[in-house]
Amino acid sequence: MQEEIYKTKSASIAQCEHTDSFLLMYDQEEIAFKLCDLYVFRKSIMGFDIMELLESSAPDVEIVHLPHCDRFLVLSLREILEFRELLNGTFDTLALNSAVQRILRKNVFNF
Amino acid sequence: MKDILRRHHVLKDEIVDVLNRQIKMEAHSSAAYLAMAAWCDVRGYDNSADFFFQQSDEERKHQMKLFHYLCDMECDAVSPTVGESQHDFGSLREVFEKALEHEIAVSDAIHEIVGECRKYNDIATEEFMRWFVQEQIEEEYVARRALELFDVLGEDKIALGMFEERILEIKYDEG
Ligand SMILES: [Fe+2]
Repeated sequence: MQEEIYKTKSASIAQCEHTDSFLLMYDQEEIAFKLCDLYVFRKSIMGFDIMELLESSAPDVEIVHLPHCDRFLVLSLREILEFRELLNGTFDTLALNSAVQRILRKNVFNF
Repeated sequence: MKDILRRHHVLKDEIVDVLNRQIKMEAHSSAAYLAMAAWCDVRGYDNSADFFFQQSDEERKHQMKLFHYLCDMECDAVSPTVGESQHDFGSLREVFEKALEHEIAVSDAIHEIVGECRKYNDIATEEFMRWFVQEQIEEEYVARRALELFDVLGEDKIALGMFEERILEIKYDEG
């Protein structure tokens, strides 16, 4: 079962309950991430210095390596900003879900 | 919705960050003590050198203890880069003064982690850190006792010889 966690204009991330993984849907492609790989991806996306990228001397695109599947994404500044929103939204939603589940877990032992 | 976050990433990001910072600090301590050991060794203070070689090993063990904890919790443990250590000292006493300063800084850092654990209600990590709190009490005690030996004995040649005889005997005894 797949559940969408967060969606931006042209990308989304869903959680696959069956495989305990996350699916990034972007540009008609699907890339699967284990949670630890998603952290790595977030780290590289958040690692860009946006102010620096805004300077005219900076290149128009940045390359992001996804070591878990050995792929490269070529991203424009607009796309980097969109991925930031996507990943922040995703991790906020996951944290929120964690908080909700913690309350629900209390009902596991319902005596 | 299944809570994958809780299943596979047990600790909060903020806690992971402070633990990684501590790993770096322990790695730096280990390197700093190694430099102190070298200084002592070259100048013929063999027992003091042994003392710092042992301390260096201890710090490495502390580092690994934290490192394994993060890995066990399926969180990112970052292998630290270590900066330059101080290699030049004016006297044996100065080396031990630096060592005490160092231990006090480590204690402060450990206490801050416990504070963070409380802030984020991370009972498990707080419990894990308890060992480090106790360890710092002992490390600080030993460093302080070593310095006190200089106060008692002085720093002339004979005194330094006596210091060498005693440095490996300092043990923390809870009783
Ligand atoms: Fe330590």
